[in-house]
This record gives sequence, C-alpha cells and structure tokens, in this order.
Amino acid sequence: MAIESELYQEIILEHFRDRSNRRILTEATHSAVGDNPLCGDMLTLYLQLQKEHTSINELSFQGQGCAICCASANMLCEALRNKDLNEARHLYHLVHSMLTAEAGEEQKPLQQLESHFEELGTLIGVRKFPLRIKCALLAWRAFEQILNEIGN
Amino acid sequence: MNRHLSAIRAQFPLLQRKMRGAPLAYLDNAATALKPKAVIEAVGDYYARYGVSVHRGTYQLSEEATTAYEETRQHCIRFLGGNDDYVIIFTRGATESINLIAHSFIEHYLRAGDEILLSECEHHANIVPWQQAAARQRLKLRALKVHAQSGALLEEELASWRHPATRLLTLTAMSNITGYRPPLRRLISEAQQAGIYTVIDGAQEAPHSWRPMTDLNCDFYLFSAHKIFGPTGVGILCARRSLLERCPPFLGGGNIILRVEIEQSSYRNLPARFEAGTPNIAGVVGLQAALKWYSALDHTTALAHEQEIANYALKELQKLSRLHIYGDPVTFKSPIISFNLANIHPHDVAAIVDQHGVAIRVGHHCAQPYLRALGSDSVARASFSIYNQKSDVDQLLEGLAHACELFN
Repeated sequence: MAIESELYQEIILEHFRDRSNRRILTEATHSAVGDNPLCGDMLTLYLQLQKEHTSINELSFQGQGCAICCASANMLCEALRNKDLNEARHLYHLVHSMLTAEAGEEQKPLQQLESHFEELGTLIGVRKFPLRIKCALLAWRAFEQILNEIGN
Repeated sequence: MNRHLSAIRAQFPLLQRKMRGAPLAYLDNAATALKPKAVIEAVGDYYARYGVSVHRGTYQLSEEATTAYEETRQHCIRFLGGNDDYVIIFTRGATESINLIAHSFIEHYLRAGDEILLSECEHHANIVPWQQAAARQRLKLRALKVHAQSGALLEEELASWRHPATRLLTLTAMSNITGYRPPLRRLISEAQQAGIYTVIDGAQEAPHSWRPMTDLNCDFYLFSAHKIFGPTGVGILCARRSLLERCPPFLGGGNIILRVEIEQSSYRNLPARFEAGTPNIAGVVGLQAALKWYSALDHTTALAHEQEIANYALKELQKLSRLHIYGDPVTFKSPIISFNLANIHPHDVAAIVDQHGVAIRVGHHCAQPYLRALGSDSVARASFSIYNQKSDVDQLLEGLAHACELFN
C-alpha cells in the first residue's frame, strides 16, 4: 500500500507517537489555538521566548488532531526549539510554501527545509492528499498567530 | 450475489469505478446516495429535448417542461403517502425547506415568548434556522435531551415534553449519526392534542422507508432529493395546505406574484407563492425519475437486504475490541453506524480505509450537540444503502485492520 510511503511514513508515525512535547507549558510567554472546525481538530501551541525576546527557548502543544496534525506539531516543536525568531519565521514560510505552492514549485522550499531540519521534508507526502494539507498546517498556523502577535 | 442485488447494482454507473485499485465500497450514503442511470438520463433528456423554462412560455416546449415539473409534485405525495390536505413546495434542499418554515410560518403563527422545541439529536440544519428565528422574534428554544450511551431521547424527557409555551415541535425522523428514530407517532399525536405544530425532518429517513407520512399526521415533512437517488440541489417541503396558505412568501421574486407595483405586490396561491424565480427544473425532473425508479423496486426485498448488510457490518464491527460504536444501532435497526477506533483519529481511519476503496465520512457530521452528548467530537460513519453488498463491509474490515496494524 502506497499510503505508508507517502502519508504515514515511519518518521511521521514516530513524531506522532512521541509524547514529550505534548503538555501545557506553564512558563509560556505566548500561546495560540489552531482549529479546523470542520474536523473538530483543535490544538494549543505554547511558546516561551528567551529574555531578550529574540529567540525561542521552549515549545509544546496540547489538544487533539489526527496523526498528520500531531506529527507536524511535534516536528514544529523539535525544529523551532532554541531557534532565533527570524530563522523560525523563515522555517514557517518554507513549510507553508512546500505544502501550498503550485505543483513544481515545492522542490525549492523542500530542499531548504531539509538543510535545516531534515524530518520536516517528509511532510511533502501530504501534498498527494489535498484534504489533509490543513491538518499538516494546523500547528504552523497557530505559530503564525504567535508571530503576528510578537510583530517584527 | 443474488439476482435482485445484481440487478440493482447494474443500474448505478458509479459502482463500476475502481478506487485506488479496489472496487468502490461506497458507505457514505447518509451524506448522499449514488444515482441510477434512469436519473442521470432524465436530467440529460430534459436538457436535450425540452430544456426550457416553466410556467411562463406559451409554446410546446414550455408546456412539456411545465408538465414534467408539475407532475413531480404528485409523485412526491404518492411516495410520502400524503393526501390532498398537503401541498408540495420545491426548494433547494432540506435545509432550505426548514428555513422556509422558520421564516414564513413562524412569522405568521408564533409570537414573542412562544417556545420552539427540538431535540439534541438534530443535525445543524434543524437547529440553526430555529435559533435565528428565535433571535428575530424573541422566541424560546429548548432541546429534549438524549441518553449519553444509547443516544435515544430520555424517557423522562418524553414523559413531560409539553410546556405551556410550546408551540412547535421539530424532530428528525432518523438521526444521521446513530440512526435513532424518535417515537414520532406518539409525539405528534400528543402535540396535536395540545395544538402544537409539528415539523418532521425526513432527510435521513426517506431513503430507508416507503410512504413515511402514512398516518403520521404531522404539519410539515421535508427531505432532499439527493439522498433518495435524485439530483443535488432540490429539496421537498410537504406542508399542510391550510397552514401554509396564510403565510407570507419566504423569498421575494418572480413567479410568486399576482400583481407588482413599485411600493407593494400581491401574491399567488400555493405552491407558486413559495417558489420564487426560475426553479431547478432539471433537478425536479431528475427527482421524478428517482421516485419512479424507487417506486418500481420491490421495496420489501431491497430494504431487507440493506438491513441485512448493516446487521452483518454491525456484527463484525462489534468483534473488534478497539472499536467503540456510538448509540445503539442494534435496537435502532440502524442503516448508519458511527464508531471510533481507540487512539486512532477518525481522519486517519478514513484515509487508510480509502486505500481499500472504502468511502466513509468522518468528522462532526453537522451534529455537534448530539456528538457532544454522546461524548465525542469526531467519529467515523459507515452508512448503508440498498445497493451495498457484503464485500463492501469486508473491504471496510480489511481497512480497519490495516489502520490498527499501522497505529499499533
């Protein structure tokens, strides 16, 4: 079955099973809720900035969603931990364009992403299941809200 | 496969399609039914042979279109088991039928402080229009509660459901989540004794029944064409003529008027008063073909077969230890089964069974209050029709086993 080589790759399942980032972050400086009202999926992303507010110290998430949604949220936490805010913003844009760019335009962001955090590249398989792109983006949209709140 | 079933299946072109290499196992019938050739051809035939507007032309083509359109009303009454006390109004769907009542009827018949009563097992189309009406006219809104396990209306709620302010009772004839059928005959009879108007949402029930309005005596019964093998975009409102006769139009426009002046208009009688603008003629003609097709079937055999497949599915699904079934489909004799696999999100379940050619729906199914009462916010749903076969269920079971293996 092709689904294991595209949608449910082992790396994605590992991130889905990993529980270490699924908690409320009591020391969070920011949080945002991402929801897909049509599927009933909802998760809260917690983020703690460093004192100088220029980089991310810690992240976590809690809520409910499908395997793709939770795996993507888990990767987000792993990929953005200890990252400078500008770099995190850049990664967000790369994930977004890898998943939503016109066919043929997704390879460039994919390569750049893989050079930063290789496992994020596995999310490209979601493109073959257009209805699930919103699942993969849920946590990233919550992160976008936090970025907007922080401002430039 | 028995002869009866293969003859039915042969009439559905979509059943010939392969999905991801497997035969299509279509188990999303509660969302919409597939269409038999007779319906597809009737819609094509209308456009190819007499595809013009109704009611206003004085030429042969328009006469033909008008006749086909108007004759469909009689087919609807016959299918429902209604009589001359009722009038058929064509709308865009069951949702619009409910909105029509919630506007025109409520505006004329209910006053501030009156209560609209519904139930927790309604889908959003039988909740939201009443909320809007309640806000517009300062009406009260109340919902009968369900049992958290069985999904049936609570006995104590049914024992004393009438309050002094209750003026209208609106209920589904069959839940789109659990297949639960409220005790309509008893409730409608009690409603009538108290002068309470009754609305029955038959969208889910219609394709699993024959003459559902016989002896029901409700004031309104509505359903949608696409769930009963007809085209999308057509709804049917069957209304007690004496009640609707006094109501103002729902939508303004052409066809509904006698005389228009710039400041005001006077309106036509039923049913024209409630069919503003050029209607969905192809859809109504297609609905007629669907009702003729359905009427010509041996219903007893077809519906018994459907029940047999649902029973087989239920029996097999109950064997899966990880699987939780919502409501009480055994008692309900339900053609709809909603379930979840422990620790697997329904979206993942749907994506994996899709690889086995199985179409099921997942999510909140536009019935959030009911799902919440049953303790969930997202479920997978397999729903059956007269053309389903045992191997459809077997494909679903293979898919579920695959999901369990992947997420073990």
